[in-house]
Amino acid sequence: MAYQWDDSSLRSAVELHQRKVFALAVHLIGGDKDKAYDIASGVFVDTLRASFPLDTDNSLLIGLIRRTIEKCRDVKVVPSLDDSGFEGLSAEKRGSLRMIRASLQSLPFEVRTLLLLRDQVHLPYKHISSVLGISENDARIQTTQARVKLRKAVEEVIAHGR
Amino acid sequence: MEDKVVFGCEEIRKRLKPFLEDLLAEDEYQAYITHLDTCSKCKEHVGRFGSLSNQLWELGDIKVPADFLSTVRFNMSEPAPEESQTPAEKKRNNLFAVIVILALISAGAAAGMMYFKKDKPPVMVTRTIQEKKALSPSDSESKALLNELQSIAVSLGASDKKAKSREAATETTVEKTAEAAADADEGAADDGAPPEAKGAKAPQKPKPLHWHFQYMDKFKDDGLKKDIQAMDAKLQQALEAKEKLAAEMAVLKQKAETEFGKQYTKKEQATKAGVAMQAADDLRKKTEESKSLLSEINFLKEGKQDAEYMSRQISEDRRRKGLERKGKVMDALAALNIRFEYQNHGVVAFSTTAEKAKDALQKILSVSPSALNDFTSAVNVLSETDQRVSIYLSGDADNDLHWHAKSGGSAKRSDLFNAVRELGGSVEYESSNMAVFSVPKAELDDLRVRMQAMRIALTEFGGSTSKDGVLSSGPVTVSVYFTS
Repeated sequence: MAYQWDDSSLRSAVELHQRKVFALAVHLIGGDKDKAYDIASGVFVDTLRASFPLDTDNSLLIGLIRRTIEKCRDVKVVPSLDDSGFEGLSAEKRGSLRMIRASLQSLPFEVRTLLLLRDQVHLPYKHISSVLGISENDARIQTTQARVKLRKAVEEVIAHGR
Repeated sequence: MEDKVVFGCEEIRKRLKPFLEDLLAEDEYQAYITHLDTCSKCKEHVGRFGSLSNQLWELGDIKVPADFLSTVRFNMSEPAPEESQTPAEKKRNNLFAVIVILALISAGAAAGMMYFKKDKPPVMVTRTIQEKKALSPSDSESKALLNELQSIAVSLGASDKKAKSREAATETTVEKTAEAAADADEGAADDGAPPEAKGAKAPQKPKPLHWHFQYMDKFKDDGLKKDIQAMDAKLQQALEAKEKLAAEMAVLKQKAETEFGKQYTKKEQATKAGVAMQAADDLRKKTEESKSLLSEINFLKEGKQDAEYMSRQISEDRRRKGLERKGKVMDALAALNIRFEYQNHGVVAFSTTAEKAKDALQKILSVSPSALNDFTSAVNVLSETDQRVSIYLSGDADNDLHWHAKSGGSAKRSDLFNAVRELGGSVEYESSNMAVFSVPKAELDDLRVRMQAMRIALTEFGGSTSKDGVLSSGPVTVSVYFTS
């Protein structure tokens, strides 16, 4: 039987991790924030039902991330042109972020996942290895390789003027 | 237990390069991130360096919708899906249990065979290879068991697929089935083909395309609504408590005044004064209680106002975004120089080339892929000839009625239009697969009954008064897509 979360624990758990989970979902599926909202809220419900408030924040975050990746894996990526998060940035910055976003979306799902887990969610490699079911060493190597692929994707975007 | 590494601003600057290159030790990396999360100055400084990692980090700086917590809270209060398995899921789970048991039995049999082999007396070693083989389960037996397991797995996969496709857009499934059945009818229906062509195989006409585009999001502030209801209930309770308290205070006040006003003997004064003072004391306590209750009532009122405001904002935001999406779709169609044959009551209908129809589909998908429901598998059936396309643009529940009708031929369609006219309505638009008519609201149920009598299968979309039976006067417009 699932633990019944009290309101303040629930609030703390959600507010602590909602941004990371939501952002991860957004970038894994290509930018559709509505779809990401559905995925992220579903992930929280499923994970919290299977968790306890005394679980460490890390184990909860790992559970959330794992479920987010599972749910996003089968979603068809439709690249988004939603720039609503770029208000207040300079035109140059916006252009640069758009380019990174487009390059990221062109990469395979597994490569995107590695990059986002390390450079956006800032998970330690041991947690990345736990989430993806690979060794810590492999997590490091594959993340480095993923960065090289991202760099190449960016160069391609620049070269083709996309 | 090792000490947790903590970085100050100086360490941030010193270790910038290894951080950007992801060369820090793990504890230092986490300390670096922790500091940047709390120090905006350092975060700004590091952010100036446009490394890919930094930019990925910046991309993650997304605002989470304000109602996210409410949604999670509300969904948590719903029962978990595992508590309500469908019969198909139960059957599937039972089949899975059977497979596991069979697998265990076969593993046990193999293990048992190996065990008995080991314990055989040394004389067994001298037996010929053929004899030894005869002692182990024959290949055919193993194969038979494997085939049985595989056939169970195949049927499990098939039933799983069936369950999944049933859960997905069921209307689509119904309509596609209806269309497939109606394809056989279409050849027999009056399609204007010359009699001499009926003997020969007629060239296949491209299937008219029909899409629904739900431009308004699902309403996501259900959690907020529940919060408002809960606050309302608490507010009611607090107001009732306030009433009760006011009545008690009136009684105490009366008592205190009465006791203080009386003339007592000296002997009585001691006790009666005590009673009066007690009443006064109780009154003071009730007054305090009343003050705190009033404060709670004000807090609840403000909270409710805030929640209602947020709910309105969410609705307005949702509506604005929905209308933006709708606008984008219409702009996309206009950009393709598509001329509409009909555009009203949430429906657009046009004929265009296959290429443009494909472009239109792609453009609509790029606006919002999850909002599009393609009832005619456009990607698969687009031919090289011109296409008829009809799109139903739906927002909230309170929008124009849209029906899918399997009529089984043009004769029944004529009957339907006659029925509309008999009920005081009129047909506004008609094409080979679409029609738009209006009919008095009060006659809508009658029309449905007549369609049932005509054996016209109906699936309804849109409209808030379509099913509740609360009808008033005035016309209602219905767009109909004929699936056959």
